[in-house]
Amino acid sequence: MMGKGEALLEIRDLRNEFPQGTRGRRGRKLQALRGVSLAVMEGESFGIVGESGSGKTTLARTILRLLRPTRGTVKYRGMDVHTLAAKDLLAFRKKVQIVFQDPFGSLNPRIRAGRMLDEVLQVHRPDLSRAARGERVEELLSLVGLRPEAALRYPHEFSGGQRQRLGIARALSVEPELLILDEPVSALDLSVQAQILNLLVELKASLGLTYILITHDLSVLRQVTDRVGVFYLGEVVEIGPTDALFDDPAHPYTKGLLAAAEPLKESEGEVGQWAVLPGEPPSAIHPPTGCAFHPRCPHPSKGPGCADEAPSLQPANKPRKVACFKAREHLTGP
Amino acid sequence: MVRWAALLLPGSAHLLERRWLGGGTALALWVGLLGLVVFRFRRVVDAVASGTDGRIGLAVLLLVLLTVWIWSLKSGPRRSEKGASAGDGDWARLWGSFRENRLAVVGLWVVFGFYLATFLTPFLTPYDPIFQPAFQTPEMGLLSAPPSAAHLLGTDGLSRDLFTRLLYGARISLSIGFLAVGISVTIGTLLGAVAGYLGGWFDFVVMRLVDLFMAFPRLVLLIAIVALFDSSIFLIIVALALTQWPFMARVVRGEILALKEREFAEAARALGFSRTRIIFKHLLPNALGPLIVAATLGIGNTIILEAGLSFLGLGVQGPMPSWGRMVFDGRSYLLDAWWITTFPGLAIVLVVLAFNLVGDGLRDALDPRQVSEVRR
Amino acid sequence: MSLLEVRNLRTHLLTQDGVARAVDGVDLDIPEGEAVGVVGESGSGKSLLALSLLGLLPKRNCEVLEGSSVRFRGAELVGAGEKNLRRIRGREVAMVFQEPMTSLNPVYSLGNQIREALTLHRDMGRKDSAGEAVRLLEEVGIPDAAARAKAFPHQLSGGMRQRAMIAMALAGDPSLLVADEPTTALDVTVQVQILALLRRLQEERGMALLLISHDLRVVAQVCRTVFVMYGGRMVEQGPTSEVFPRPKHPYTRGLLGSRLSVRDRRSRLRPIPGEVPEATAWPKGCRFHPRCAEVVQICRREEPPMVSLSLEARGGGLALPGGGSERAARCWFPGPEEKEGQ
Repeated sequence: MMGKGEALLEIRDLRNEFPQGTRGRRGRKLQALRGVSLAVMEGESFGIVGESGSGKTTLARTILRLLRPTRGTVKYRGMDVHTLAAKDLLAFRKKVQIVFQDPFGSLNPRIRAGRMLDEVLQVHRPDLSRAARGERVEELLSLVGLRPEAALRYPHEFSGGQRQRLGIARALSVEPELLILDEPVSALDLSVQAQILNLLVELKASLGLTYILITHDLSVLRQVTDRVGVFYLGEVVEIGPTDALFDDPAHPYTKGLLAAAEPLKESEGEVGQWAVLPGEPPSAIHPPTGCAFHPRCPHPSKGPGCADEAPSLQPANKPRKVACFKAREHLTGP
Repeated sequence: MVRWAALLLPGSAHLLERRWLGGGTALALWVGLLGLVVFRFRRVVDAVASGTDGRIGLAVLLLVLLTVWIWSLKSGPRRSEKGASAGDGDWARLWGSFRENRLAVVGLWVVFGFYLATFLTPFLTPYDPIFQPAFQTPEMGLLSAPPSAAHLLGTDGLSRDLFTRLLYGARISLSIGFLAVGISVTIGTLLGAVAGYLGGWFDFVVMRLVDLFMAFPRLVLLIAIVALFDSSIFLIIVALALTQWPFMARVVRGEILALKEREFAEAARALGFSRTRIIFKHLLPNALGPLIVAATLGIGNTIILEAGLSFLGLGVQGPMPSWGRMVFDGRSYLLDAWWITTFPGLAIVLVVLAFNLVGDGLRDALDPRQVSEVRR
Repeated sequence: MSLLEVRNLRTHLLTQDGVARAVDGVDLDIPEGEAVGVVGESGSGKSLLALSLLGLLPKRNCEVLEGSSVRFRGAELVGAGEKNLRRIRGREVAMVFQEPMTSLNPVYSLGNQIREALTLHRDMGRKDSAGEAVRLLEEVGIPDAAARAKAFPHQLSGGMRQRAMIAMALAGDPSLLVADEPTTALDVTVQVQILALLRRLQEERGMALLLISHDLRVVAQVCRTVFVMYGGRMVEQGPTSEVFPRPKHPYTRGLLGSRLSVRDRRSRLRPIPGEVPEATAWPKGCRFHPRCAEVVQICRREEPPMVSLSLEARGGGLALPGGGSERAARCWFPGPEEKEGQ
C-alpha cells in the first residue's frame, strides 16, 4: 500500500519521435520528447509548462497510452503502462484520466450530457443498476457545480465554462487517482477561469486526487501547483517547487517566460532584457545542437560550450534542478 | 371551436396559425386519403378482398391517417417564433434548416408522394397493369387512346392503362432504388468506417477493393452481369448495390478519418471504450450527414440506371411494367401517341429530380452555418 | 477631430435563437497616431465591432442599424457603399486577425501577397513592389527577408506568419491598424515580441492602433487608452494608466480581481460569479447586474448611461455626449478609489 509522498507516476528517459513524410521518403523525425524523466508524487499537484513544441501534449498522451513512446518507460504504481495486458489496461484507465483543453471539441456533439456520463458508468461500473447509475450521474453533475437538468442538454447548449465542468465530471466518473489536466482553462473567458480553477482545487482536496496540470499560462500554475517542470523542445529544463521556482528562476528560459507573463508590473514601454526573448521556439525536426535553448539564450555568459553539449538536470539529488551550465552554480550553492 | 376543427380536420388548426408546411401536409393527406376511401369505396373494398396487396395498402392508409391525426393533436397550438425550434437535438436543427429551402421541401413532398402511391396503388386505379383487354373484350377501340376521364394518362399500344402501369412501375423503380442503395450503404459504411478507423493493412485492402469496383463503368458492368445471368430483380438489385458501395465507403471513411482525430474520440479512448463502441456509437453518428446526402443522391442515380437498363431490355422483364421499358415501348408511337413514352419519361425525370433536390437540400442544411454561435 | 469616431454603433445578427444584439450602442474615439485598446470577453461583441467598422459583415444575417455612425476623418462609413469602403479598406484602415494561418492564402508566397496589396493600394509597378515587399518584411522583423519573401505560409512559424500579416497590412501605409486578438494564438514568448513590434510600428509610423483583446495584459502593454466592453456596450473607458490600477466599474474590477497572478499565490481566487449573458437576451437594466456584487434596485430597472469621471465633472456626473477618451464608466455607482483588487 503506497503512502502519501511516494511516486505515483514515474517517467524514465521518455522519448517519442514521429516520422515525417510518406513512406519511402528518407525519414525525417519529429522529436516530440527527447528524454524526459520525472516523478509525480501521490497527492501533489504537478505543473508542466511549455510553449508549442515543448512536447507537453505528447507527454500527456504518452502517459495515458494514447501514444506509444519510442523509448523509455512510464510506470504507474510500479507497473509499466505500455506493456499492460488488456484486462489491466482497463483498470489503468480507471486510475488515470484526462480533462482536455477544448471544452467543445472534447464532447461528442450528438450525445446528451447525462447519457455521456451514463455510458462511462456502463463500461466501468457494470455492477450498477440503471437506477444507481442515474443517481451517480446526478451526483457527478452536482460535484462539478452543474444542475441535474444539465443531464438532458447537448454540449452546444452549454457555455464554455459549463462544458469544461462537464469534461471534468466525465473524467471523475471513473473515480481516478491521477488526473491530467491539459490546458484546462486556456480556452475559457477570464472571468470563468478562476471559477474552474477553484473547482479543481476543491475537488483535489475532497477527492484526494493527484494532478498533472499542463499549461502555457504561468499564472495558472502559480495558483494551483506544488511543483513545476519547465519544458522546452521535448526536455525538462528546470524543475522544482512552484514558489521557489517562480520567485527565483534559474534557467534563462524560465526567466523569459516569467517576464513575458508579468508585463503589467513594468512601467509602460520598459521591457527588460529577459522580457523579449528573441527568435521562436525551434523546430522539433531539426533541433539545435547542444543545449536546445542556446540560440535564443540571452544569458550574459553564454558560451561556445552551450552549443556543443546538452546540459543535464543538475543537481541530481535535490528537489530543485536545472539543465543549464551557467545556471547550475545558481543552485548548487549552499 | 378550434379544438373541434383540430380533431376532425387535422392540419386546419395549423393552417390557421400560418404553419403552412405542417398544416398543409396534414390537411392534404387527411382529405386526400379520406376522400380516396369515400369516393372509391367500392374499389378499396375489392382490393382488400382480393389479396395481400390490398391489405397492405389498407394498412398503410390507416397508418398514415392515424399518424397525421396524432401529430396534429400533439403538436397543437404553439406560440413559438420563427426559427425557434423547440427541438434542441441535431435532427431538429437540421430539419429547421432544411425546411427553409422551398425546393428541397417540394422534392421531399414528391418523393414521399410517390412512395405513398406505390403502397396505395390498388386503390388508385382499378385496372390491371398487364391485363390486355384488346384480345379478350370488345374494347379494341381503346388501343393507344389519348388521356381521358377513364384513362388518366391514356393507354398504350396494348390497351393497357398507362396510369396504372406507371404506378406499378413506380413500385419497381422506387424499391429497386431504395434497396440497392440500402444495401450499398450498409456494406459501404461497415467497410469504410472500420477501414478509416483501423488504418493499416485493412484500410489498404479495402481501398484497393474500392478502387477495383470503381474502375468498372457501372452501366457496362450491369449489362455484363445481366447478360451473363438471367435478369431477375434480385440480381439487378445486387448488381446495383455492388457497384455503388465504393462511393459510400469512401464518404464514410473520409469522415471517420477526420473524426477519429477529434478530441472527443481521444477522450473515448482514454476512457477505455472498445474500438467497436467508439466507431459505431461515437464516430458514425457524427458522420451521418454526408452519408445521407450521398445515399439520397445515390437513389436518384440508381433509378436512372435501372431505367436505362430496362430501356435496353436488360432490366425487369416481361409484362411487368418498368419505366425504362415503357419508354422503350412507346418510342415508335412518339408521333401519334406521344403519351406512351412521355409520361414514363417524365416520371423518371420528376422522381430523380426530387431526390436530387432533397439531397442538395440536406447538404446545404448540414453546412456549418456562419451565424451559429454569436460568441467570440 | 479624431481619426475614427464611432457613435452609437449597433450591429444585430440574425441567429437561430432570435436577434443577437451583439454590438448595441458603442461609442469610441481613436485620435490620430494613438493606440486604443478594447478589452472584452467572448460574448462582449468585440470581434463583431472590428468587422462592423469596415462593413465586413455578411449582409445575409448581419445588419448595422440605422443611427450608427462610423466616421473616418469625418467621412461616414456606415452605408457608404462598397466602392467607397474599398478605398478605405487596406489603404487607410488595415486589419490584422487572430489566425494568421487562415488569413494568409496558402498557395501564394508571402512576397506575392504583399506585392498584391502594394499594387492595389499604392499603385506600385513590378520592380518597386518587389523591393518594397522585402523592405516591409524587414520592418516587421523577419530575418533574411529577401529569402523569406519567396516562402509560403505553411513554411513559417506562427510568429512569423503574424509578422507577415502585419507587413501586408502595412502595405497600404494605413493611418489606422485594427488588430483583432493578434497574439492570442501565439506562444507567450512570441506574444511579447509581436506586441513590442506593434508598439514600435505605431511610434515610428505615427500610425493609430485599435487593439482588441480579451487579455488585459496585452492591452496594458501597448495601449494608451482602453475601453472595456461588456454586453455589447462599453462599460468603462479611460487612460490605461488609470483604469487598470483604479477601475471604477464592477466588471472591470471583477476582471482585474479574478486575474491570476504570477507573483504570489492567493488563498482563494475570486472569479466573477455567473456567466456572460447571451446577446439574444441582454438582462434588463444594467447588463452586468446579475453578476454584480454591489447591485441595487435601480441597477435592475434602468440601464446606466456612460458617466464622465474626469476631475472637472466629478460630482456633477454628466453623461458624455459620446466617445472621447475621457475617464468614464457606465454604472450608477462607479466605485470610489479602491485598493487593487484582492
